[in-house]
Amino acid sequence: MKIPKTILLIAVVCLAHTAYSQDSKATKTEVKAKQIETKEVQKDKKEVLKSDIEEQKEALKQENKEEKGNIQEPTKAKVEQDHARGDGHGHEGHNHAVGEGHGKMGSRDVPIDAATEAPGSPEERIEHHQERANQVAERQANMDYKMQEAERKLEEKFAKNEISKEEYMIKKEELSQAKLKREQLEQKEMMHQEKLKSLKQSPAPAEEVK
Amino acid sequence: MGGMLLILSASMASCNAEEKKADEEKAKQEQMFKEKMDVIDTESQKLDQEMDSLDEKIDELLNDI
Repeated sequence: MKIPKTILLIAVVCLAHTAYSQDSKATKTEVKAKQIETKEVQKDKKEVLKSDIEEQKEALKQENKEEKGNIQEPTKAKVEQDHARGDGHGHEGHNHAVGEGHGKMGSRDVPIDAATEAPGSPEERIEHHQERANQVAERQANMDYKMQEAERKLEEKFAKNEISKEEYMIKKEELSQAKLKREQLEQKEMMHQEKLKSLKQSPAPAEEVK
Repeated sequence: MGGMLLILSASMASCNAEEKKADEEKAKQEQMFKEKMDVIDTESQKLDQEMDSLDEKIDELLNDI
């Protein structure tokens, strides 16, 4: 069978065109999908920024509040109640021997440079975040301990009349603010871990990307 | 001869297109993962900073009392 060269050429051109159009169609679909996903990532970034701004606002509000000296004067009953609670501490012996030394437990007891280092491969990055999560848990426990110690010391001093009622209430308020902040941070950390978990379970895990 | 040539060129074109598509898909997934990971990194940095400042504040409180 002899096929004329022209027909053969036309057939080849037709095939090449079909392949090219299929390819470009697929590329267009991919570009669209990528655009959608990029939008999602941008949305995530926006959320982070939004929460950041809200926090700053909250901090400013708090600062203003403190500046105005908006710490409420305690009722007599409450002070007596707190005082009574404070009395108990002196005799129960909550790690008194450790006492003053806690000031040395600095904020850098557990080094957290996890995210700043950001190692290369996806597996390493995920592993890094897991290590960071463990360190964060340790730090949180450490902070809890320090707050308990601070509370105990405060009650003790107040019970011994070493500080004034006003000073006691101010410190107590500061401590409760710190506790609140600590709880908020814990919740944020949990949400952050959830995000990391969902990223690990996403269709492009570390092994596949590698 | 002509038919064979046709089949060969068609299969080659199809193979190339599929390979290209797979490569692009892989690159896209990699890019997506990287972007998401970057968001996580930024977030964890922010959380660490917050934790640092809270930790400092607690230390100050503990030392002041």
